[in-house]
Amino acid sequence: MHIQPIVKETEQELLKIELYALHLHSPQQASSFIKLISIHFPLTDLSHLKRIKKTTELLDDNKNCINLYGLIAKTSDVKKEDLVNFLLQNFNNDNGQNFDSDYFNQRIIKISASKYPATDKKKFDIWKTLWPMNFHNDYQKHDIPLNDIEIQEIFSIMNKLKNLSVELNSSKNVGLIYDPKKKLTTLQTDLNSLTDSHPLNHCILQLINASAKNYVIKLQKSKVGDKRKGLDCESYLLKDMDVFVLKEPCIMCSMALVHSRVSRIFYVENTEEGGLEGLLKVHLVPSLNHHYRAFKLIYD
Amino acid sequence: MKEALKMAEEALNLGEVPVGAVFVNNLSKEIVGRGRNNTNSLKNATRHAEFEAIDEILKKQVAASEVEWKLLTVFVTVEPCVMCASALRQLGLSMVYFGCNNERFGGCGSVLSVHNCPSKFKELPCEGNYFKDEAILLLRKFYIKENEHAPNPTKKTNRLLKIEDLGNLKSVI
Repeated sequence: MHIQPIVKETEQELLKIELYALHLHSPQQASSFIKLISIHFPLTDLSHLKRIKKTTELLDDNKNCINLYGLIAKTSDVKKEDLVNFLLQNFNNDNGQNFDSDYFNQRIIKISASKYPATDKKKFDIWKTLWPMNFHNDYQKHDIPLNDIEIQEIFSIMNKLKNLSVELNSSKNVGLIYDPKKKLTTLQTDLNSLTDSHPLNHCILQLINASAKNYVIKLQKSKVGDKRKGLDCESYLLKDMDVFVLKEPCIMCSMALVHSRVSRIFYVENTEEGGLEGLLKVHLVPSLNHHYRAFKLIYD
Repeated sequence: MKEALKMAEEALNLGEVPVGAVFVNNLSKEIVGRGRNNTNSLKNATRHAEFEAIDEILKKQVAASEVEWKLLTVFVTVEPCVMCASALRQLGLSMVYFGCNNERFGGCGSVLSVHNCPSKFKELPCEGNYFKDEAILLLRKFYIKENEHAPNPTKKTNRLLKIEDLGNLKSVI
């Protein structure tokens, strides 16, 4: 039995990947480029890369020449001629100036970038010289291993959850919210929520909703005295809380946990439409404002 | 989209993040559900406009299975977040029209592309930039106010509402 952290694929050595980039001619063009390209060519597993690279070149007359390059997609994913056609149709006008296929043919270039995010600052400083990258300390934070006592505690809670699932006699996903500081289960899936006919009645959303309802009741009861003290700090409901579920949450539920500022999630089985183990890894997207740790319990 | 903006304005007046959504039946062209962001009063960070509208639609029906989501189009003032984009795709909505991009949480291209990533669910067609400037103006009006819900509200008395860069305002809100 062991616990596997769900982390981004990383590499100790720099591994390069080849991509197409467009040589842009102005900052204005760069901003419309980002709007168009981010919708049609999402970075998905390359979210550690920045869209735009800026280089400054010193010309003979001592003037600076600024070059802007915009990342499009992996060379393995698209053909250059398809890109030219796409840009001709969607990106061929800038302040009344029209571009032809020659313009795009000359300006689409091949660049290389790091395939994986950098795990430490030292690597980041070297790797980003290839193509600019984002750096997040989370990769290090996610490396902290769980200690033996924690692992024991986690397996014992998961066993309780498995028993609950048998008790409720349902094949649906069940879950609970656990406060690791107080060592207390604050909420768990009940019979009512299993019979809920809402089309989005996933157990994590139900737990979040139920927890919010309890909190509002608590708020109303304690309306005497200073309302803000102590209570408003908790308004992000699942802050410092752990969530246990039998099955990996879908993308919707994975993001609901980001919004709710959960601390960790533990699950046993991965799912087809899961938001943690698949390409998206919602809990680790660098540009989101909250990240949590995700763990899969493995029973040998 | 103007109806969605009205919902967003209602949210603003109630101290909620001004995002509004309406769901329209493709055949009858009638609005079947409305919602606005309701996270602060319910103390629930997942109560976005889209979810509020979905629940309003479900409330009107006897059985949840009666709703034909694939015949409904969503109009929402801000690009749906990753969670809402996934929810709308799982329900099988026919189309999403949105106002401005959501650079922080957007699930239709800005942060992640939940609308068209590989999945067993049918792709969710999305199109932005409808009344974008009006949607941005409402958000700016919200963020210029001091946030009474924050533990240490920042003083924002010196902040001015910027509108010069919003050249396409079609109606004054």
